[in-house]
Amino acid sequence: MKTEYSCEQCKEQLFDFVNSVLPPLEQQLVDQHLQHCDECNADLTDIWNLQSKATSWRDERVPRWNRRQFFFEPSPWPMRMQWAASFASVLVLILVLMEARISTVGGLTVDFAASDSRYVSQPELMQQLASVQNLQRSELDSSVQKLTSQQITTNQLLLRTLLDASRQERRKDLGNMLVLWEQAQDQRSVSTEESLRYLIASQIQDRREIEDLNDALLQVSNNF
Amino acid sequence: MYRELTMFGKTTDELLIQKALAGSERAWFGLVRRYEKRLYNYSLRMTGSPDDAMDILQDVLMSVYRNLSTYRGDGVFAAWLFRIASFRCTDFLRRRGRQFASTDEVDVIDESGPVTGNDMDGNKGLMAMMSRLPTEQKHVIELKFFQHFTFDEIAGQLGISSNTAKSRLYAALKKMREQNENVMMVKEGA
Repeated sequence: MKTEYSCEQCKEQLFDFVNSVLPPLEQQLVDQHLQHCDECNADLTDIWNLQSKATSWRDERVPRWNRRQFFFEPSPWPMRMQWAASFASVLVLILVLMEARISTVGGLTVDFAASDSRYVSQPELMQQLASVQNLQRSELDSSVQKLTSQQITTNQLLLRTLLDASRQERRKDLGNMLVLWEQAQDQRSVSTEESLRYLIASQIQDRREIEDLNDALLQVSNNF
Repeated sequence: MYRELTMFGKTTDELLIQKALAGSERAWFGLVRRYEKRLYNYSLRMTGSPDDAMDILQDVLMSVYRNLSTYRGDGVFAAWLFRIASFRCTDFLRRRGRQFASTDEVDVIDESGPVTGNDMDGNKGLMAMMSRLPTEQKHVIELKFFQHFTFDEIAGQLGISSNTAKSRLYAALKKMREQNENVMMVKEGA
C-alpha cells in the first residue's frame, strides 16, 4: 500500500486534482493529505479562486486598426521624405557647383561666386605676387630680428643665473672649509696643551726623584 | 492540395502559414484575426494598459510576419507565437521598469475611489492583482491559468525547469492571497 503524500508530492498533483483528472488512487492520496495540511489547503483555495477569476475574464475587444496598411502599405510619410531627401541633395549639388555663399547677416542672402568674380591680367597678377612676396620677406625679417633679440636676452639671463649659482656654491664651500679648519685648529691646540701638561708633570716628577736621590746619596755619605 | 490540412471545415494554422508564405494576404489576415484577440488580452493582462497591449500586439505580429519563413512547423504555432509574445512582454516591462506594481497600474483601482472588494472583481481587479507581481511570476500565471499550458510546456516557453515554474506559480499565488487579505482588511475597516 502506498504511504501518504508529502506537501511537495501533493503540490505536484494539485492542478490535476482540481481538474479531477488524477487516477483514483492519487486522487485519494491528495485528498488524505489535504485533510490535515493547512498550507496545501490554502494553495488549493488559491488555485480555485484564481481559476474562477480566469474563467470570469471577459476578453476585451481589440481596438480597430488598419491591418492592411500596417503590414503591406508603406507609410506615405517615408515616401515624401525620400522626395525631400532627393530634392535636398540636388539643391546642395547646384549650390556647390555655382559656388554659392549663404549669409544670414542682415537677413538671408545668397551670393554666387560668378557675380563678384572678375578677370585679372598676367602683369597685374605678377605685380600682386611680387607685393605679396615683399610683404612676406619683410615679415620674415622682422620675425627673425625679434627672435634674435629674444635669444640674446635669454642667453644673458641664463649666464647671469649660472654665475650667481656658482658664486653661491663657492661661498658655501669656503664656509665649510673654514669650519673644518677651525675644528682642526681647536683639536690641535687641545692636544698641544695636553702634551705640555704631560711634559711639565713628568719634569716635576723627574726633579722630585733627583732630589730624593740626592738626599739618599747625602745620607749615605754622612753615614760613611 | 491543402485539403488534408483542414479540420472540421476550419483551415489549420499550417495551411494558412503555407498560403501566407506563398504570398496570400488573405491567409495572413486569417492568421492575424485568429490570434489577435488572444494576444491582445494576453498583453493586456501582462501590461495592464490597453495602449501598451496594442503596441505589443502589433510588434509581435510584425515580428511573426517577418520571421514566418523561419517557422519550421515542428511545434504548435500558438506556442511559437506566445513564446515571441512573452519575449516582447518581458522586454517591454523591463524597459518600462514595471517589474513590480507601477503607479499607472495601481491607478486602475485608485481611479474609482478607495479599494473595496468589488474593485477586485472582473477584468480590472485581475489586472490590478497581476500588476503587483514580478514579471516572471506574471508569465507563469498567464501561461497556466489563461493559456492552459502544462508545467513542462511553461518550462519550455520560459527556458526554466519545471520545478522552477511550479515554485514561481505557488509564490505568485501566495502573493495574490496576501493582496486579497489586505483588500478584505480595508473592506472590513471601511
